[in-house]
Amino acid sequence: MKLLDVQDLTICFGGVIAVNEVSFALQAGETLGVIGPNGSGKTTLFNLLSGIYKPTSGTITLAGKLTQGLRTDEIFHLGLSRTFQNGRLFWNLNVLENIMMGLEEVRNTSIVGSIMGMQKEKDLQKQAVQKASKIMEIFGTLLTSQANKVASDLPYADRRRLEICRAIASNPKVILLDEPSAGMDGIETEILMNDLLKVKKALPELSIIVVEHDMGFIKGLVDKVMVLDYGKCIAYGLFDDVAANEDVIKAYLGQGDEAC
Amino acid sequence: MIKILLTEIIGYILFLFFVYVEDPIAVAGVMAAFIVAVVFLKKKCGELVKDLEKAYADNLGQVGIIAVVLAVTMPFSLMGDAYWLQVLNFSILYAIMALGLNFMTGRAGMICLGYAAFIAIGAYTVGILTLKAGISFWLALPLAGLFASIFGVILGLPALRVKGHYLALVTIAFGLIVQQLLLNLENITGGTNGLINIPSPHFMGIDMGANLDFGFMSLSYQANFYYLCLLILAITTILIYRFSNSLFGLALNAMREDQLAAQCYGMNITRYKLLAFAIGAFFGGISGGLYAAMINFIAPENFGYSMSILVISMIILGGLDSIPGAIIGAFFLTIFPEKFRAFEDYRVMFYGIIIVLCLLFMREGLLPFKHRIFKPSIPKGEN
Ligand SMILES: Nc1ncnc2c1ncn2[C@@H]1O[C@H](COP(=O)(O)OP(=O)(O)OP(=O)(O)O)[C@@H](O)[C@H]1O
Ligand SMILES: [Mg+2]
Repeated sequence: MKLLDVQDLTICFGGVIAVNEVSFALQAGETLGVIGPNGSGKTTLFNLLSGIYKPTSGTITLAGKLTQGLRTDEIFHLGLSRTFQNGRLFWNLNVLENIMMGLEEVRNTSIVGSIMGMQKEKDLQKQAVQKASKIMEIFGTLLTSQANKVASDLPYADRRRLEICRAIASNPKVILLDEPSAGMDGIETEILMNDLLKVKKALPELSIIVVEHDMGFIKGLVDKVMVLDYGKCIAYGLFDDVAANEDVIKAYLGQGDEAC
Repeated sequence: MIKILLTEIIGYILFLFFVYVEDPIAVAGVMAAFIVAVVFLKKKCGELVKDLEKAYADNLGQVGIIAVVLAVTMPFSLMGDAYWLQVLNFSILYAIMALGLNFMTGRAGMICLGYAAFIAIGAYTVGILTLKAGISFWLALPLAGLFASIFGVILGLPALRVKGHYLALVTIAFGLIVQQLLLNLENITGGTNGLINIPSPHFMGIDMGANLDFGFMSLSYQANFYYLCLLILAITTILIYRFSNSLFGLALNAMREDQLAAQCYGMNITRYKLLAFAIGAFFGGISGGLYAAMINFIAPENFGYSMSILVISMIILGGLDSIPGAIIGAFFLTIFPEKFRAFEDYRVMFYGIIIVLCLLFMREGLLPFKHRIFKPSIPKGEN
């Protein structure tokens, strides 16, 4: 079943066409890598998918529903969550609270219940803490040992991990990871890679779209790759086919390793 | 328990001392000594202070009960002194406002520099309803909160589109507009003259505008309002505490931290923003209503921009998003200047200095916000 179906997606900022007639489809459980040089429209594509930007033209169908006209939070409820390229945690909340914000319990409280100290609110809170603690465990003790630390006090790599935890907390159908390994060193990247494979194994139905600069990182993780250049999709397919594609080599690989 | 009791009694005695010693220089001296002592204690006996903080945090119920019991005896310790009781009443009213504004600004991140407008709306609601419509104060008071909430939503609507500095400007404008309306709708509000002779409420047949007579001791009428305000402050504190510690409160915190991320994680921030405005404004309205009934006279000039600034400086001094901070900040900034009435003209400057000093040297305020400590993994962590 097609979980996500994108047709001719286009957005212009003034004269710049940041995403230009991009089409692709994503099956449930599939992982898609998106690569492309700086400014090629990867983050903009994510912003379109999550509803932060409205497309100039084209359509996005998520879980059988057109997302046109839906607010960001409504799209989240359809089953799409994401991380951000430069990390947008709730900096002054602690680790556990950050993950709890991904849970539906937080939005299911009634305000009257919260001030009357009703049992339902207490149960929801307990449930949320339990669920959030459980989600942290995919990263072993790395986060559980810091559960009550404020997010801004976390080491860089743990912030990235926390973002992933928050993203999968809501049991989404698809998550968008915007350069999850940015700012990590080689070893950390490898660990992250293994962690993501763990997530995939634990949640086989989850579809993932991951933006990366590092082709090596993507290789072992993705089923398919899409290459963007100046907002256009210049190649789409299995990793090996795309890596051998001449246009891709010219547009992207030719530029050598980019570190941001 | 002993620790809490002891420290609260020390605070109580310090306050009485503050009241009874007339010479401002002596007061300033003792206050300075006290601050030095606290700073010294914090540096030298960090353990002791930490212990104390923990004792307070773990026994919130006891802290509250002891504080209330001590507070109830206050009018007697003051021998029913009308002046100081009035000062205390204002402190309590400001504490209620500070709690409301703190919820809006500290918790939800909605900067509001026009909070006085909500207080005005509450005050005029009670004034008009009791004076002109003859409605009972006890019905008018909740309506004051409700109307203020409605205005909170009205302010919230344009505020949905703006953030940060722009939001601050919108709220300043809102405060000015409300004040102008009060001036110009003369038929209802009495214009510049305001409303005079707002009736005092009656409680079970007792006129709250008359002295509180215990037979062996007669307290000035301010004692009536002291107890009423105290009760409402207690209720406000409990409500705000519950709001803040609920998942709803957590969501508001997240919205303050990052609106875009909060939206991407399923929060309909329109709804949450309006709720934050409505709830914060409600308590402003309530305190305004109490004010009108207590003073019996209100005019637009009482609810100017400087009042908004005063309430903001209270929560900055106390510590943004900190409930005890808001209360302490309100008490400190109401009571302290009373001893220096000779310098009345410099009052607003004093508030300004407090804000600047806090922002420079004490970002988190006197009693910083404390994160809740969760006990994560449940089955294993049981000890
Ligand atoms: N809000 C905006 N207003 C105007 N132009 C924008 C906006 N957002 C993105 N752009 C432009 O769209 C283009 C694509 O940017 P985008 O951030 O999507 O690139 P990217 O592929 O994520 O790059 P990087 O690898 O650096 O993260 C850029 O030219 C950028 O300047
Ligand atoms: Mg990007």
